[in-house]
Amino acid sequence: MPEGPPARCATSDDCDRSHGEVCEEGVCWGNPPAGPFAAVVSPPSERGNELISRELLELLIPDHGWIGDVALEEPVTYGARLSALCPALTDCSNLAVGATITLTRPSLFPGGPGFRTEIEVAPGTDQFKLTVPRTRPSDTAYTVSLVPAGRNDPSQGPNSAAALLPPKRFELRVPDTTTGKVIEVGAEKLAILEGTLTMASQGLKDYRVVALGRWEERASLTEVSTVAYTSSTGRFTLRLSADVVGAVEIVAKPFGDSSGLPTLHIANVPNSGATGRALAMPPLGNRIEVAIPVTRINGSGALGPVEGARVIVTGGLGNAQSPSFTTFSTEATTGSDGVARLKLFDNAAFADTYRLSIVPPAGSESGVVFEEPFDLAKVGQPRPPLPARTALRGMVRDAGGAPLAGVGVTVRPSLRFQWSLPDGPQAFLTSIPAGTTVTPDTGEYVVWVDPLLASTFGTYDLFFEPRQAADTKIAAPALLRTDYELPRDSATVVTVPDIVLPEPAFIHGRITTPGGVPVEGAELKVFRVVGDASLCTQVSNAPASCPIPATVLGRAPSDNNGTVRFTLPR
Amino acid sequence: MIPPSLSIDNQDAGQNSPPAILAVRSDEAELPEQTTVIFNRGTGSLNVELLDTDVNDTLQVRVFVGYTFDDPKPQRATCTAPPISNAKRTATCDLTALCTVDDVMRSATAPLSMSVVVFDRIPLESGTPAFQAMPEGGLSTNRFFFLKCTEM
Repeated sequence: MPEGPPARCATSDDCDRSHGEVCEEGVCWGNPPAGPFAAVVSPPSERGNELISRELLELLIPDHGWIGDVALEEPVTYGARLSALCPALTDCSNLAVGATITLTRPSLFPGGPGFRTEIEVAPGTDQFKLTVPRTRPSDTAYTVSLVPAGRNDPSQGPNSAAALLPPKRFELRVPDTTTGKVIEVGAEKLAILEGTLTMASQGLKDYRVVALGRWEERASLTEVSTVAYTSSTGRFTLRLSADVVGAVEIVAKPFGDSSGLPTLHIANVPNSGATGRALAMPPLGNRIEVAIPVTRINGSGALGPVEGARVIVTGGLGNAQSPSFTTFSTEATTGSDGVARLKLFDNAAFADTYRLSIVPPAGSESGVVFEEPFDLAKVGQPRPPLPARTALRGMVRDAGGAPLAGVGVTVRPSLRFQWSLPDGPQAFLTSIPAGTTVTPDTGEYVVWVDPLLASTFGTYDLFFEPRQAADTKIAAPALLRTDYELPRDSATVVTVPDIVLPEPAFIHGRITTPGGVPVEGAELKVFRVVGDASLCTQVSNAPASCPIPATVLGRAPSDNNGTVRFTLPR
Repeated sequence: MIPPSLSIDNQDAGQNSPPAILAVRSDEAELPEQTTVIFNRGTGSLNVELLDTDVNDTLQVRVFVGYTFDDPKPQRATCTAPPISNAKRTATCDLTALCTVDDVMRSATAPLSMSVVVFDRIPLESGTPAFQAMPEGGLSTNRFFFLKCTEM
């Protein structure tokens, strides 16, 4: 008899037998909600070398609630070494290659987590092993990203791996344990990008230069070239990976003595190579320290400082159609005096581009400021307080209608809200920490949200996570209410209809090794499979893969008998 | 000589026990401490399994990125495990704001630092260390990870 489960029954006659419920351990197990369900079973971290996670495309849950044994998988390993393939006429026989190697594979079911692992291979490592689930004939291959080591070290010279060997991406199937493989990094012939960084006609030192590009159409930008660190000549040479799709962007970011200067870009550089590219810094003027106070009106109507707010000033000249362009971003966090201190450039043309954004700390009743014009001439003058957020208030009840205490409530921007925004506002929205609270005995809650961003009204997801009932160690089911749409008015308080948490269906099973031995400390997660992808066609700026995550309905770790006990919402 | 009482003191007057983090799990797997963990920007959650023998304590979990005493930064995610009559409990933190666009680029070459900290008192709005100061007697425990942020 495990400790904890609620004494809900003495015999199965106390349960809903007509729907298959069975009394065991004092609990009425079974009568699950309608599926389909998918699942992921993962091993405890300390057994990661002998067991590996496994996705179940369909988890069958019988009416009696016992799902039986769910076996973890035995991993296979891919043993290999890295070998440098250097540009022609370059001697790299002594080059010790290290790398970060990431393997990913999409989920078997829509919105599932998929598989991802990453290892660091130290320079000079003779053999390394990748531990992964076996690739079966029907499985998608792994996508391997290999990024040579040392790319963030300015002391690496022109004959280092960072300067000679670009990142690499390829597909890999691992149907069985394999050893002795060789992964070649680099190539004898690669497209070259050459150019110079200048400031006031002088070479610009201490910039890290790299090309950003895509491994496939519509994928996100990533580093696809070797890295160059500029000296006082400002010159750079990059070698481009052969696997790049489409044009690339050269990006030069400051470090060391150049820290704080703008970033320089050249967009639309052909992946066949380019020489003589010039990235010229525009006039910046003097660098001055600017104090930006952040205030709010508190509950008693008084103006007070906001501590812990992120204050971001962005700017820049030119755009992707210009021969080259600059972007600038600096940020600071307000101290206990509510003031953020940033260093900005005072050249009039450059300063005219400044925009101010502010993200208040998590849980704040004050709202965000997004890309508001920022006038250097008005520094020192009082700034308006942060705008008020909208209060979402409501009540959480149990299935019997009684107010429920101890329910964690989290509010976050919905995918509809995020994906309705262009890239910049979307990135800003997702940098705002989610609001959270816990219901008191009255079951009431208030969480604070920003009503709109970039002229788009907000829609939010509300996540309700009940604490475990006092007489059970099985977590009650959580509830996700998606796409709560704020009214299109200036209301500062919005009442959400009462949330009634669903009745739990108690489910149990056992996690084992492939040989049937129970596994303690493993975890089973049960997902509702995403059936409706219509959101992807209703919004203007979803990512290419439109990854609507599957909702986790229940999760539980296994006990020392390998048994997992969890609930699903009915 | 009067023998000492062998009865257990009541919770409020007793010494505070520190909270412990038993496990940190992403949507994919359990995260071993001091390893590199990977999260997609703008999505995901963290399930934290906690232990506190002071069952009446409300436990606050906060996730910090790049936090140092010289340059303290506010938490990127917060969640709460309310009191229950059980020393073990869990909380789920939303990670929408864990990674910024800059973090994606920066962590591509060198992972960032990420700390999951559990407090048994609600951290103060101001005080030292910033964003982690607690009322007197409060205790905290943390788990450290290296963070890599990626785009979906």
